[in-house]
Order: sequence, then structure tokens, then C-alpha cells
Amino acid sequence: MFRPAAREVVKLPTRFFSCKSEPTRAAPAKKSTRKELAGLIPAFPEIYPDFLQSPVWNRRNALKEELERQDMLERRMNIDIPEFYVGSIVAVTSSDRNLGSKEHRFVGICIRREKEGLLHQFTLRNTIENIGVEVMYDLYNPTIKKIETLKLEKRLDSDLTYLVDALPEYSTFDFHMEPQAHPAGTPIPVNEVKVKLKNPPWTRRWEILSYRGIEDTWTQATPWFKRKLHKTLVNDYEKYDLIANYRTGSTKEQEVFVQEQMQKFEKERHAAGLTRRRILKSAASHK
Amino acid sequence: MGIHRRTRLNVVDNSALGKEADTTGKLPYCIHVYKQGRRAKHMPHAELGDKILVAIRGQMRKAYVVGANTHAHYRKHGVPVTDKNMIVLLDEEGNPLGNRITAPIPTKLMANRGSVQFSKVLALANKYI
Repeated sequence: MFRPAAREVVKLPTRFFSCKSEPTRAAPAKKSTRKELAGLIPAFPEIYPDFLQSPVWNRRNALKEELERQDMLERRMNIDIPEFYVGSIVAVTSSDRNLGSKEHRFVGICIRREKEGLLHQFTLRNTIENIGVEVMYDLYNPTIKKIETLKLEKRLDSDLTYLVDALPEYSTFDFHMEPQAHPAGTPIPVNEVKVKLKNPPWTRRWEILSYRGIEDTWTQATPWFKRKLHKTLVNDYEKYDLIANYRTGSTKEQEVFVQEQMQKFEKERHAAGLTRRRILKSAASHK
Repeated sequence: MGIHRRTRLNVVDNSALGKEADTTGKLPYCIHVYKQGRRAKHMPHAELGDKILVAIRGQMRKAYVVGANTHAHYRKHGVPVTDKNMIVLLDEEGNPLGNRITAPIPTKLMANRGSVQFSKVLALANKYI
């Protein structure tokens, strides 16, 4: 299953409980957390969705995650996996046994990033000779030789599956596109383009799903489905369920734990003089 | 999804029959899959490179699937999935009906080079994805 797409996380202001009777106790705790967070990435879950825990609460297994993380880090020492988001334009070069010694390169917009751990996969979409083509890649598959981010940007949604039903110009990208460098330290640009859909039939009922990146689906929707709307179960309110959000999302403690583990791994490998490759990095918070 | 009975398909070769089906808007549809499924007496879904029987313009023709739309859960690493199901028509002897494939086809199909019939289809391709 896809994860709920346009799920907005309700952000509450972080509360600091002050204790008037013992102010000395409350103060140093805050200081130590700030020191601890040095060098860590605030947007970690977005950049590294593969290092997150399973969104299914009872499927979380610390030992399995630990073992998988070790394999993932080893792989990241051998191949440079750049930062990319859903909406970025990515090129993947992979070896193909059917092509012999030749390499296979595919360029497209990243429309989906799914699953956690070693099974993490992403899907690229492009239009070749008026035919929409999607290729799913396993991020940690050893046949991948190179991943390049040609254009680093985000879209309004975290799932661009609707490009299947959009006009082909929204998913057409040049295979010989020049990579555009992202100035380090600047925030990731959000492409606020709203796509126009083809006429129905659609693969899904986009008019009832709350995607921000689609332009006015209601007028295009067929009367048949408009009439059925009152019978449709709409789970809009689920985004306000903070407990469900806590259970499916990642916790700050876990993020800090994983990042520190990555830093430690990096440091060990750099000290051994094997590689200079950096694993934990972010284009937006680059020093 | 998957190609099964009554699945509409798009002909991507330059045969007259395929072009006629395309211009009239009456797309061919699958009526049989030539493959042994997991369950006896149950027809399996056709995948990339499978041979199927299609109904086209009142005729029955054999065809090869050269592009398949697959559900996101059933996709394989590095295998391209096209939005439409694409086929290449065959004649009675099993040779391709047209003499050119007008769409890019997945490199995965090259794994079927060993088959005499399929290598004739691959010879018509001019672009691989």
C-alpha cells in the first residue's frame, strides 16, 4: 500500500515545562540537548526515508533495523547516493545483463519513495516518444552503478502518482539534461506547479484525494463520481489524530540515534583511511 | 492490473491491421494467454514477453506483449513499465505481421533472444528503454 499521500503533520509548539521550585534542574537538560544536536540534520526523515522505522508499529524490530542499517551504510560507502526528493529529476545508471557490457541510463522525475530499510525503492517517470514510462529501482540494489540528481527540488506533494493521469508535458524530461547545481546552504526550492489532468477515466479518484499539486479536479470529474461523493468514506480528519501520527511517524530520539550512528561509522572509515566519502549530508544545511 | 481476458491493448507495429484498429478506435483485446499458470485450468496474467491471443477487427491473432502496465506492488527492479499495454501482432506462421516497431521496448525482452520467434520481433525494434 502507498502511504497516505498528503498527510499533513500538525506541528505543535514544543513545550518546556519550567519547574520554579528547582530551576537548576530544568536548565542544564536543555543545554545538553543543544550540544548533542550539533552536526545533525533537521530534515533527516525527508532526506533519508530509508533509515526510518516501519510505519506499522508492531512491525518495528530493533535488531532487524540495526542489521539492515549496517548493510545500508556499507553500501553507501561504495556508491554515492545523493540527496533527492519526490519531485526531483534523477538519473540512474545501472548495469543490465541483457545489454552485455553497456550501461543502461534512465532519467526521470521521482514520483514515489516507498518502504524502509534495505527494501527502499523509488520510481522514476518520463515520457519517451509519447509513451509514459515508469521504472522502479531498489535503492540498495547492487546493479545500480550511479545515481545523479539532475535537479534538486520538491513538489507540493510527497507522492506524484497522479502524473500518470496528467498531461504528458508534465512528465517529459530530456535524457541529455545538464545537471543543475544546488547552491550549498540554501533551502530546497519547492516547485509549486499545479498539473492539469487528462479527461477521465482516471486511475484513481483524484477529486476526493487532497493533493495540492493538481489543478481543479472537481470540474473535470465525471457526474457519476460526483453523485457518489456522499457515499464515499472520506478520512480527512485522520491528520488530526496525533497518536496515529506518533505511531506511524519517526521520533526525534530515533532520528538522533541513527544520525549519531552514521557519524560514528563515517568517522571510523575516514580514520582507517579507506575512503573520504561522506554519508550524512544535507544540501540545505551545509556548512 | 495485468493482461487477462478482455484487457485492451495497443498495437505498436506498422502492420495494416494494427493501424486499422488504431484509427477506428476499436482496440484489440486479449482472449487467451499462452502460458502455464500456477493453478491448473486457471489462465495466468500475461507479462512482458508472453504470447497471447487477441481479438482484432473480427479476427483472432497471436501477439507478443512488448510493454505491460504493472501494478506498483508487482514491479521489478529496473524493469520499465509503460502506461499502456503494447503488443506486436504475429501472422499464422508466427512471424511478425509488420516490419517495424514504432515504440521503445524494454531491454528485459532481450532475455528472450533464444526463442526463434521472439528474435524476429526483436529484430524489428529500433529503440530500447
